[in-house]
Amino acid sequence: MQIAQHETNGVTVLAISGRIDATVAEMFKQNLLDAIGDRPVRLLLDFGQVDFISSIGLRVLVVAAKRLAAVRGKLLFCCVEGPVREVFELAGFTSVAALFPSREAALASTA
Amino acid sequence: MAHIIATLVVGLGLFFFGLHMVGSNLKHASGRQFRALIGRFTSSIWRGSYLGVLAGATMQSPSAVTVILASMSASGLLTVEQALPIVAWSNVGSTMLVFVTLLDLRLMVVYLVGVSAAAFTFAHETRWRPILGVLLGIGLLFYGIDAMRSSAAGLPEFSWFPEVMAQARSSYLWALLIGILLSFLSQSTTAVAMLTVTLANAGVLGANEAMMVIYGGNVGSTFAHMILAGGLKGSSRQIGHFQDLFKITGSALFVGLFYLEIYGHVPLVKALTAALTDRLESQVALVNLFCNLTMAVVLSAFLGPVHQLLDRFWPATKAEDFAKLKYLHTRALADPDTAIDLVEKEQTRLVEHLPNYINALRPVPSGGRRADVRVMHQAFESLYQEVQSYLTRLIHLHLSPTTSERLTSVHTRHQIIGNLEDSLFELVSAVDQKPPPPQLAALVQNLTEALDFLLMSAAAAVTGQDSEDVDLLAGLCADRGELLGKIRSLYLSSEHSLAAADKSLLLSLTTLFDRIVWTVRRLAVLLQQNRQFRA
Repeated sequence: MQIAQHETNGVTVLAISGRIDATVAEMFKQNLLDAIGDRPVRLLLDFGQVDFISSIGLRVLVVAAKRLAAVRGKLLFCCVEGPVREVFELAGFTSVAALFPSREAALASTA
Repeated sequence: MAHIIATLVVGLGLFFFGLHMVGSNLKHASGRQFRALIGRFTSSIWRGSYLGVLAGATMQSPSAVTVILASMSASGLLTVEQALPIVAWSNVGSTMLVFVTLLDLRLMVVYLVGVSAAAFTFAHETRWRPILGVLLGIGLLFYGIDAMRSSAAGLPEFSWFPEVMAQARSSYLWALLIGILLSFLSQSTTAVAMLTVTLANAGVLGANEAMMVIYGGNVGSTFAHMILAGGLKGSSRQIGHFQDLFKITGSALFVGLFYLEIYGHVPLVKALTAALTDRLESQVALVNLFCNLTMAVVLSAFLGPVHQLLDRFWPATKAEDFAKLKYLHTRALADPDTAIDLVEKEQTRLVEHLPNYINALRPVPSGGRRADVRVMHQAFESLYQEVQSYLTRLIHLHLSPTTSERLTSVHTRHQIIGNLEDSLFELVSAVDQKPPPPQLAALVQNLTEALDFLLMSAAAAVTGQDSEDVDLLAGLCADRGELLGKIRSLYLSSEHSLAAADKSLLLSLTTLFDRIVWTVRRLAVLLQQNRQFRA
């Protein structure tokens, strides 16, 4: 798993690639928590290059969402497609998270 | 020779089948009243000791008593601590018969097998079937032992037998080995003792050799028992190894005393028995009694440390540890609100156990073993029923309206947790029985991860009772009907060319997944409603 971080229009964008499973869960969590810090940040996770996400990976997303709620930040997802989308839907994640088809659509929603 | 071997094989087969019947039917017969009855008979070391003497005297085989108790322990009917005094004193009970006469149980066993088999077949009242199954199992078990004994009874007919017995006169060690061999074959220390008396009376063995055959006989039944109890797992092994410790230590101690008496000229066991009686057969019977009585008294005095030692070398399995109540105890019933708090803690353990089932759905790592979902299910059932019994006792208490309302909610939660496990076990078993074809592998992997996530979220919500976790759980459990309908249509289309059995698996998996999500939603809604009790 690799993560590229940059800022666009006041939104912290994390472009993730590879597999998010138990072997990288701790690193993934630390990256997300570092990106959030203690500011009311708007965090956009770009899943366009993610091949697989395990249950542990989803739990890390819950931890990040709770942390963002505590600092009054916002969590958005974009480009969640294919098998990863199916896991999101089956897990019910699509009902509780803000998913956008593209990075542009996600950024536009924060404007 | 062929007939002896065939009889031995029949005996072994019937022994194992009888044991299986006892174990499987005991699980069904483990109602609260039956447990209470067992508990009453084993409530103290002394009651267990009486029961042990009685069991040993009537069954004539401490090994059979040990294996039955280990099976009962594995079924959760009694604890290792309750079983140990029974095992120890069954050895003493088995020596009593040598003084009277070797009871012929064959006729009784034949009637037991015949009557219980007929009753088991025609009993329509399901309440009695497990009890009849246990009786039939015990009957078959003893029929098997009897068959093994009759195969051993044919030994003197062989030309080499008198030569082997003559060897016993030439060396005490040979006498010991012959005792081990005879006991191993006959499955009965009592039978060896009776045979030794006969051979001593016939002049084939002297008093010293007869003593060594008796000591060897005590060890030999242990080797047989080790083989017969080889399939036992977890703490039930402690019961078997306690019997091994009893016999091996007892024999080693008395062999040591024997050599000290013979070569050191210190009057010990032989001198004592000779002082008590002139008759050789009575002396042999007394040697047998002293050997077993000494160990029963010593081990009963140190039962606690001995159990700790056994627990260190043969610890309980994870499933056994899980199946034991951790928080609930009878004293808490005096304060119903505290009792309900403790029930909630046990329920949390039940929910936290569920994500472990998911490991059985994942591919097995190289060199690893697939998680056994049946063992997990059995452990869950055991703990679930214990908590259920406790809830039933709580319901019969006089409760305030608020406590009563809280108890109703906890009771409902218990049913939901039971339903959740039922569906999960069914889903995992479906995949276990019919591994998915390559076309369904990706879907099964996604269902697995989603299910694991939902169960972990449910465990987090139940454990912390945090509003945020509970609300998240409720949000995650939105209706999946439409989504699962689309998935079914996609995979059932001709493009995936699934075989009929695979289509059936697909329908089972999606239906059960839907049911699990619906059940988790019921749990989440109940947890949301319960906030009033925590306010």
